Amino acid sequence: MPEPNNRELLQDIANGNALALRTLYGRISGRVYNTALSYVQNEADAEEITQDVFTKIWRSAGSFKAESQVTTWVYRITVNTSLTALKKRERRGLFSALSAQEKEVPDFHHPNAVMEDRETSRALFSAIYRLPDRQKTAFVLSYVEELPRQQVAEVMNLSLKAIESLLMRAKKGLRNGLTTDYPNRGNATAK
Amino acid sequence: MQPQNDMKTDGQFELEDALEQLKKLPRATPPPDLLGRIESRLGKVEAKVIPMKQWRMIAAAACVLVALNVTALSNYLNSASQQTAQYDTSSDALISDFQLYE
Repeated sequence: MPEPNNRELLQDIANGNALALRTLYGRISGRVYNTALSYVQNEADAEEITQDVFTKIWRSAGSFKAESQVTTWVYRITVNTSLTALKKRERRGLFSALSAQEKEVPDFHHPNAVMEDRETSRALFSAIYRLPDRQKTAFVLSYVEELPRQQVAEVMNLSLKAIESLLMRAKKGLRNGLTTDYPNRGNATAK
Repeated sequence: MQPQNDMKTDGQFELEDALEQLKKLPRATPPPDLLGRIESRLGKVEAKVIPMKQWRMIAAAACVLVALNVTALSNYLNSASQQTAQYDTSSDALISDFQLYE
């Protein structure tokens, strides 16, 4: 018997089939968790977001419109849930540190970064964290999740041109962020 | 010949270096118990749905109770008015009994 595709799984989930949810989880939980982790840069929060996303999938599978891919729909839910979590964190941060001028950036080390790359990875994720929301989303989906630009445009409901422009600005922001964090590292490594 | 990286600014080198490393970075995977946590959360969600059904039953029971009360009340009022009528006639009789000095 052929494996059901994601759309069929989603239909089954809409009918309350818990096994279908398990199968879909097996297929896409890595993407959901990895995307959430790139946003919140904290494993416990990424787990919480993954739980939220699958709860939303369970509840609203029936409202999925077959116009887009299931993964596009799931990415959209993940991005929105992650951005909401970041907003909540910012609000909490406002109360705890009213005097702080800059966004508090988590000291995040990607769990899979090898030892010699840990500092570069930490600097990159810290620069990603400081990007404005839309640039962050375009960058995370394009470079961390490695989605095709067209799918990124669909997830974000924007044109391809807009995505390219967001990515250009994101890269500029990241360059500035990395240079500020590590002013001498480029020279040291190049030589 | 100079290495290509020396032609770039620090920021450019850093970003390209970092993006290169990002490509090699394996995807983070969720902990193995996360699915179980999601399912137990969904179980709680389901458990929250069951009381909604119970609410309907409670509402139906409340309607029956109200209907019974209305019936009982109307019966009571009917019988009360009948009793009043009886008292009226009996008090008439009593009053007629007290007309001693006619």
